[in-house]
Amino acid sequence: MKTPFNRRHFLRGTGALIALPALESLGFRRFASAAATTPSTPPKRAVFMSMGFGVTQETWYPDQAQQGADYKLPTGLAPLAPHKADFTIVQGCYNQFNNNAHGGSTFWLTGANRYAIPGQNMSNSISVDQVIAQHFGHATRFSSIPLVGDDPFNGGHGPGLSLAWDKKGKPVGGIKDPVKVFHKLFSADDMPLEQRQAAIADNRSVLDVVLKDAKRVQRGLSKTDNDKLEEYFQGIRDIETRLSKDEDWLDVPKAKAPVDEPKPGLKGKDEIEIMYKLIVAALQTDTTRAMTYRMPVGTLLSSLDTGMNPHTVSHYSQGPRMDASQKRDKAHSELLAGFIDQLKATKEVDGSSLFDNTTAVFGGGVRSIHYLDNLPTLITGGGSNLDLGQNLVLPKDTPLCNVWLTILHGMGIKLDRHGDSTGVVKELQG
Amino acid sequence: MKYLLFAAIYLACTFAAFAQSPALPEKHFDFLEKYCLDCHDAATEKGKVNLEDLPFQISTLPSAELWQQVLTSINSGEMPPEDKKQPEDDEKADFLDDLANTMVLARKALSDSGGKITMRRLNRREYQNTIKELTGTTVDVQTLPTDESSNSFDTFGSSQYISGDQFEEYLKLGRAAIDEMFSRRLSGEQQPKTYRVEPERVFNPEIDKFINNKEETYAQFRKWQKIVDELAAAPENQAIVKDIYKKSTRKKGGAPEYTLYQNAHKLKGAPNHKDFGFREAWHPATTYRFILTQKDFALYKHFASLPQRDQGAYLMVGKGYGRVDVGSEGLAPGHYTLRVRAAAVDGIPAHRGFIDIGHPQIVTGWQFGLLPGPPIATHQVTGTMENPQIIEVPLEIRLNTTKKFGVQEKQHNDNLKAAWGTIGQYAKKNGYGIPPAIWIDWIELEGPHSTNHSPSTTMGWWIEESAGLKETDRASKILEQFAHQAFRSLAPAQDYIDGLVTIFTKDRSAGDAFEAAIRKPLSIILASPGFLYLNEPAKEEQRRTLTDRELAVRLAYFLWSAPPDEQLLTLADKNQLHEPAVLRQQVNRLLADSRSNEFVSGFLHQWLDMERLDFFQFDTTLYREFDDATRTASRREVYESFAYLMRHPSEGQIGKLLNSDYVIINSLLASYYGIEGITGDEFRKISLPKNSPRGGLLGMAAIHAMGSDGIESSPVERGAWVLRHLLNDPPPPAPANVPQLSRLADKNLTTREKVAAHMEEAQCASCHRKIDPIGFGLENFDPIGKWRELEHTMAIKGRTKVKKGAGHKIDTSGAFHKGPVFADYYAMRELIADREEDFAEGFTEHLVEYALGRPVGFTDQDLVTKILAAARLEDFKVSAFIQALVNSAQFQQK
Repeated sequence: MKTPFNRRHFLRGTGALIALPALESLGFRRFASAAATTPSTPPKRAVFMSMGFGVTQETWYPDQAQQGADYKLPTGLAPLAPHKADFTIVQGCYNQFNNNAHGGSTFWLTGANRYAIPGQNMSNSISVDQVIAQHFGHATRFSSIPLVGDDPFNGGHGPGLSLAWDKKGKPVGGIKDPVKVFHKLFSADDMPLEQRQAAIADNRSVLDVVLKDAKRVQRGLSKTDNDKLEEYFQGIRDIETRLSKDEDWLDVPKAKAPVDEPKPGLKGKDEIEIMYKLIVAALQTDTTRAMTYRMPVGTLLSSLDTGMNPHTVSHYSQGPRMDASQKRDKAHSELLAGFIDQLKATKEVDGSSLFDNTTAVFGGGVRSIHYLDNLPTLITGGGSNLDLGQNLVLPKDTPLCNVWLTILHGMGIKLDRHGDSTGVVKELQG
Repeated sequence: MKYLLFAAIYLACTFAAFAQSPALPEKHFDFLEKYCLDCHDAATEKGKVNLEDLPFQISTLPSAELWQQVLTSINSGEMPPEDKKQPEDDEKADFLDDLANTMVLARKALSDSGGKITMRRLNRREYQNTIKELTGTTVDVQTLPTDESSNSFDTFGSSQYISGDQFEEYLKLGRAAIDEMFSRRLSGEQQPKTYRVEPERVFNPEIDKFINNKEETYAQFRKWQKIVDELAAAPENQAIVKDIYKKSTRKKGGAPEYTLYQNAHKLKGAPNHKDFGFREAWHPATTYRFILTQKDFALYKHFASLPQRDQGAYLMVGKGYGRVDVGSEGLAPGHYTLRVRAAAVDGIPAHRGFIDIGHPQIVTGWQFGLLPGPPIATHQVTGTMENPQIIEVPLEIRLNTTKKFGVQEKQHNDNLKAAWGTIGQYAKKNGYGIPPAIWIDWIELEGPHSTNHSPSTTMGWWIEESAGLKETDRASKILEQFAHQAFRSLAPAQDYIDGLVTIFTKDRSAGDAFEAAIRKPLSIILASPGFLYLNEPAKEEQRRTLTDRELAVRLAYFLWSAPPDEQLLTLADKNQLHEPAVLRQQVNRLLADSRSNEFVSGFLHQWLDMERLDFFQFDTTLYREFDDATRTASRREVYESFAYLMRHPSEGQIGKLLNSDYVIINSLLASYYGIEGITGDEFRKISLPKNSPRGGLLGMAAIHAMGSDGIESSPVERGAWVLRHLLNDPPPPAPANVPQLSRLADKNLTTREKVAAHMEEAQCASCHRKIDPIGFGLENFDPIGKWRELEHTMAIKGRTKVKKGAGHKIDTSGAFHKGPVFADYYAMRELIADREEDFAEGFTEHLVEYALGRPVGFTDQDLVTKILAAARLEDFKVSAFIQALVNSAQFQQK
């Protein structure tokens, strides 16, 4: 006798499993940032750093049996010992729709399902840093700054131009070169005001002209092609928005650089170190409040003299590969400890530290090897009022977006959902 | 009978209803029932998962998601739970195998665009080529996204993005191209000049100075040493000497006197180091160590002793003077010729008889090579010390790139430090280091050459100043004509041209010259949608035939990755291009043109996943021969082998890529493959002896280097590659969360023993039973594609990696999963070559994707079948596939 069940039925009652990501339909409420109106209170900022292929699971994760504040720091996190009370390791989270073991960064901050739209083999939704930029971006010279490590190797990050994705789920470009980052943040515009105004007007007239050609091209296009051309229009609109912003900031000189201009050609460990300095500098000067950093993987391994490529190391087992993997983890923890030191040492207007007002997340969408559950997630900084200093073990397969939602709430952005979130993480709230 | 009839009707219905959506084979009902439904039926619905009503036909996103969960949880070992009934390994592997493959098909079906081609913009390659055709300049496109991504081609409009930043980048690059075009127009009128460099005049004084300084220092040290040695032997110093040695922190094995000399100032009556020319008290000790190790001194002495050093210079490798430079930043952009008079030293190994030409590394430091990456060109040196040769290399100098060029012996450019391990190995034998291989008499740079046919000098759209022509009218006409050309024969709108003229006028009235003020509007054209997008107006669900002009554009970008030339546009203008005979003749013309190399490299690079070739730094000590130039040549071998088939009127059989009795190589690869008697840098057909492992893709170095990680070969990568690209049976993507086996790690096992562990777990076996046997069949190729009989484990020894132990004999025998057995690589290659039909089908699908700029869907099965049928009539000749595709309705439709 053959099968007892009925194939002609489509699946029933599984709706709960397929929570579609929240898209732009939510109607974000814009509200004035406290910082913009009362500059004496330091603003809230957030930065997200992804490391591609994950960590050495045996030596990076604290023992799940030792929950709470009283846990033993594993060797992979040992360099962070001085800050143990100031960061929380969150365990048990994942991005439920990600099946790509070689792509940990594409959906890390979005929680989207790449196959959500029929007839397309790739779709994404807004990343959490861009949500923050939507809410706080109007108050700063740059609404967000995505940074990207310079890495010719496939580091396990997956598709995307940076960690950031805009509200339509299109990739947001990032800046690669620390020297360029420095100039974007701090290079003084020594042109006289009128000339800068004229330059902005010139740029506008360029946009006006290309739009005339765009309208010609648009005539007679099919709907799909029109959508494609819409990306071009969107690009032009983005520049227009930026020009208006430039205009708003025309009479405000750029902040004085709290760091020196980086040397050219820094790679791997040196790159991460300088990028951390630049992140601190950007946040400290309130040049932006939403940052991401897709960190280099291959060049980091090269700079540690491991002589192995990222994918090889990600498939570690006892021996040289695992040594390399642990060496990388240690380097990351050392760099991160340095970053926390700087955040703590930087004073704000009210006497608090930059650390007190910033949320920094270090992690990624691949745990180790090809595992996509219990993603490595380390949260530090007081910017979203979280309960720091603990080894927090959440129920298996908690949406990582719940953590992002908790951070958003902590920063004063009270959305109902982000990505595939099902609620905030109460245990994480301080 | 009734039952049978019912079954037949039922099957027919099923087929009709679900022809578009893939299904998991029915035999797996049993698996679900036995191992899943106890908990996941409609009644229990444990974890809110109900599999009872889940259709085997995966035709909706929700069912795909649920099946994905089934796949994921079985792969991760989570299901069935440990305390429940477990499937047999074979049963589980079969289930996972089918489900994973069905999921791939389902994803494909669900994302099928139904033959719709999304408008695309010029991808990075096409942008660069198009700018070159328009302005005669090559822009540096590093700042643009590559547009490549896994599982798609850079011609897919649906996968391309554009952003505000990118638009600004187009403006910037367009401006650079326009500026350079004007600058070349001026330099085209200059007389060419010749700059010559005699390297011995640069090197010899430096080498001699080094040697003299050292000799002087050593002589001073000997004097100092004699005094110190005597003092140390004197009775009054005995206690002190004893104390010095007691406190010594010297590591074992070094010279004991070193400690003494370091502390010589403690001795009674110690000489003053300054009297001997030493600035610091510890300098004599350091000098002593230099004398003991000798290295640099011995190396320089050896090079200073070589014959003919007064007429030319020997190139050093790894240390010292290895690169001869020419050029200066003041050179005007244009075409130049670099000449090198060079000789290869007698008796050097064949692989050392080559020079690299490139821009010199500007950031100097020990971690970098002499050139900043792959060389611009590599040439074999066939001249001898008695009869040196002159090598000529055409070069292009651009406005915004470095105008210096360097010549060096062919070598790794990414890691000079690693070369030091090699120096040590040589020094042990000869006492000084790496012996010289190349001698350079002189190098010279001549140019800029006048070029009459370059677009930058012709500028056909340009209008000279003339009486009676109003300046704004002149500008308007220039911009109109340039836009017409940039938009590939489409007229720009009048308001657009007016807007451009306004911008021109603004700069002009601010005081810019006409030639300066016109540049900005010209570069804006190169960032406008009419230039950037290959737009074909259409209605959403309706297909229409392309106009001849659109056909010309599509054809040119397919086969040249560049805009249509005059001939194509003229035929289109006359409305003749679509006529089958004309079209056929044009395809042949386009393929014969060297511009079709852009199609070959663009298509093959993506089809065969060749980006892997650039993923790894190959260890310099272990793989000295696989340097940047060899890597480049190995890549070209793949391209040239395909281009040979594509252009050959009779010998164009695609199956030759599976096995052939010839190779298409140059002298560099001939020396690499150990084929003797081949000289010259051009790629040509070389017949192979019987039983050569070379011939076909499986014999190519590039393919094997891609199937390694830079240190060891990876049978898994190689096997999966063969399935994907040669046998058209791609394994599903690597599943997430499969438990990794680590109990075997770090044992001295053969790769085969290590990978055999895959078979122990059903989750792994479901794919690896197909992949691994093929990968093992290729194990006679080492990580850089050289033939080997033994396999070695690698160990790290100091700065270098070494082969460990005596090695294991390689066994390549095996069997295809549920297929024939083979005794060795040769037999396996035969079996793979027998699968020409499968190979041709996979090739066709990828060709269709590349040409149409969209994924092949289920709706394309007819097209693929037709192309295959047409190509079969011509013995699967490569050009026959291309002709059939161009001739299809799909290619000629929007």
